Amino acid sequence: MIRDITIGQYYPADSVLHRLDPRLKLSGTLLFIISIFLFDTFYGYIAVTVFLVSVIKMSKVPLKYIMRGLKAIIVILLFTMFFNLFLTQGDVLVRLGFLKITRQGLYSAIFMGIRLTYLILGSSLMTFTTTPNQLTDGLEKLLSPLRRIKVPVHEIAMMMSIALRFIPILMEETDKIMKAQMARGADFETGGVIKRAKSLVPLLVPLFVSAFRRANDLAMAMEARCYHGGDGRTKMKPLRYHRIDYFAYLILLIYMTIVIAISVIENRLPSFL
Amino acid sequence: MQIIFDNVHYVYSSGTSFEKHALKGINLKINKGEFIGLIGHTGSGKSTLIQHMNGLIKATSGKIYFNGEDIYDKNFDMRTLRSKVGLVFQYPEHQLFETTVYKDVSFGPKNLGLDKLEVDLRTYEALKMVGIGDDLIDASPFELSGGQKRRVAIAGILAMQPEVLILDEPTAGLDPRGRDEILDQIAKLHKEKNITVILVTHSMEDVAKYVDRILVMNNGNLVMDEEKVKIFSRYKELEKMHLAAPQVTYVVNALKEKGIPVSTDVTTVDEAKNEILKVFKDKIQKI
Amino acid sequence: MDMIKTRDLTFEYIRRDEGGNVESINRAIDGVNLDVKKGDFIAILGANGSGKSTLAKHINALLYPTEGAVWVNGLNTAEEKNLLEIRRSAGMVFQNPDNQIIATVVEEDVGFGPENLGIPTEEILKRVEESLKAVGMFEYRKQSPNKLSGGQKQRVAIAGIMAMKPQCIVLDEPTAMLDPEGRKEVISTVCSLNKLEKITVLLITHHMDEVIYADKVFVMDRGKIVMQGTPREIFSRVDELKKYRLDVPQVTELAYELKKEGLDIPDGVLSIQELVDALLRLYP
Repeated sequence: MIRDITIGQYYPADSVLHRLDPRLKLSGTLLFIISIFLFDTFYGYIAVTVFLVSVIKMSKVPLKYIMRGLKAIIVILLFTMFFNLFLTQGDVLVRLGFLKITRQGLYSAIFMGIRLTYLILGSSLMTFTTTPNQLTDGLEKLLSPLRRIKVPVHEIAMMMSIALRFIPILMEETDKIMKAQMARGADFETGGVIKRAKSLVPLLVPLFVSAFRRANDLAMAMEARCYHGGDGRTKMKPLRYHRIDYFAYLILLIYMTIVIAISVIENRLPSFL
Repeated sequence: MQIIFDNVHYVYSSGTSFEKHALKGINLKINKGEFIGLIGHTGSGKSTLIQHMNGLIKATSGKIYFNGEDIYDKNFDMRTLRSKVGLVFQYPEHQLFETTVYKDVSFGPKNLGLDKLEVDLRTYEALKMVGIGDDLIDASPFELSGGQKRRVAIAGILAMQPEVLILDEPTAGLDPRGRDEILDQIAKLHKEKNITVILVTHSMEDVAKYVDRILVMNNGNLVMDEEKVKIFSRYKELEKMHLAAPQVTYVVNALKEKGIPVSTDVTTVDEAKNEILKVFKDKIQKI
Repeated sequence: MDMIKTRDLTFEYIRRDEGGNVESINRAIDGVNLDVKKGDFIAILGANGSGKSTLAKHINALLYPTEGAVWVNGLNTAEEKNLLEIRRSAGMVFQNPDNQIIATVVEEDVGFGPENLGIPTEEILKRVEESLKAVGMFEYRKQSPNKLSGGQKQRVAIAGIMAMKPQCIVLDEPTAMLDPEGRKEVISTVCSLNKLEKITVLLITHHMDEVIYADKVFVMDRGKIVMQGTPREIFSRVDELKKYRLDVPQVTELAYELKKEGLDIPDGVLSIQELVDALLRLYP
């Protein structure tokens, strides 16, 4: 169950997308996320969908695998859609007792659903096609101007990459501890809020203890391998833009132009642009 | 018959590219009071098998009976099963969480809804069984040595007074003496309380020393299920599954091959010594 | 010059209460003198809590002596300026395979050490390839470490050390969490690095069957070195080993027992074949 969560994982494959520069993929993802919040008309979403689908196709990551990432947010997704559906004011379509569904509510629920889904798909596609190390390298490089104002960019990037490495390990561990406590009669499933919160103690304490132990071990292992911060470090795989990256930037530019154009035509350009 | 597996299959991540057939039609009968060794290389399905025994994993198909009752029957109480079939996971000390040894060990009995007196009784008894003295009862479990932590964690299962005790590599990471202490205590428990014990291990020497019957898992199949001596006599088959017999079994087999009339039904140092001395008695030089 | 030298090495874990007052002192290492020559394969045996891991961490300058001193390749570990050079020349492999792999792709992890040392990119790529080949993990270079077995992960960790071009590798119970197969993989990798690449090896373990390949064995108990000698010498002292919570392999014990009964069998038998041969000589 817990193993099925695929968000943040790398999926090894040999695709154009895997070969692109992480800096490009990071800025591309950011632009994509902005683009999905640009409008709430179906025409706009056709453009976004076409873009997303073709990128997914290019990535060679199985669609089924990408979709599994959605499992993790299904609750949030339904929750958001539910609120939008019932709590938006406007022209009433259906009345269910004290609840009412409005046309505006229906639309905003659908669009919210689409946005959240695309948000997750888009950003998990980035992690599927980029190794965490590349990702953090890219981030480090993109954010490096901030170093001038004393932001510890290298350290942040290193922390991120380690977090990503340990997510699956800690998930497996959670699964294991949970089972071990269930073997001692622990019950994680029944009871009220307080009882359930209390029942988490036997799970969380060992999990934290283990996380600290791992952190300690890892710090030692890193030191033993001569890690001493970002100073004087070289890169095994330094980031260099290739022709394909410039081409991809061009496509991104075209994509953004199209979606902004649609958005202008729909006359719904949000005020922040 | 205490535990019966009837054609149990288990498939996980079904329908995805990670699909794995972890158990393939397991048929198995375990009697009360047996001391069983479960061996097989990593990924052979041992862990999956034992987690079926206390209901932590539900079989994809097939039936499991505990004391004659179908554990998948909707009226069957899974929590009782978990208390009757105690499962000690690998590195059980990683699940300790309470502020004192006493509190941690009493977690299980408390979950069974027993009254204070009974919880007390069982906790003290369990700690005594694993050789943790009264001086450590109020200590924090996190301050104990590795071997002590392991024993406290095992006591946490024993305090539920299980009829079947399953241990998944209880000696991993312990030094030789620590290993012997824990296994000796388990053997004693088995003998005195007539508890059924299932020992999962990679150490053929431990298996040889303690168990009567061995189950061999390979690739999700239960490929051998026999008396210890019979299993180890098939050491050539074991090797194909990346397993082995105890060293002394190889010694007597090599001697036999050279025409020395020793019995090859030998798995422990004592047995080997007696067997070899029988043949070599006239070679003994009195010093 | 010795690869590793310690003189009167003593280390104390000092526990303080909230006020900073000393609550207890635990002497983990107590006056250890150790000399390891270049190219040697040394094993350190000891029960849990005997101080063997604490000793290992001194060689990598992860801990500093309370008293006495440690030299690695002639460099004193207590001097800050020697730190990187010591850690580079005496690499360390730890017990838990998961907790020492930093990257999410095998080859990137192997490159981590050289990156920290500021090695140029081309050279890193070359070293990563060589090291992965030396431990037999080259074909897994693009994989996630999470998909590997315990033994494979440890071999990746060893490659990560090899990529720093060390003269010495210290392995702190590298097989404690592995299955027999993984243990064999790791030990044979270590043996071949010692034989082929002339790497000095310091193997810390309590698995008795792993030390039979060593040139010399040290046994530790309560912070002190209590026995030393070749594996054969050490394994002939079965009762003494048991006193230190250790053990001998089954075949060694059988040979020892038979000898005690009066059979003419050599001391410190290490392998099945040796015992069989000895018995065959007795049998006309």
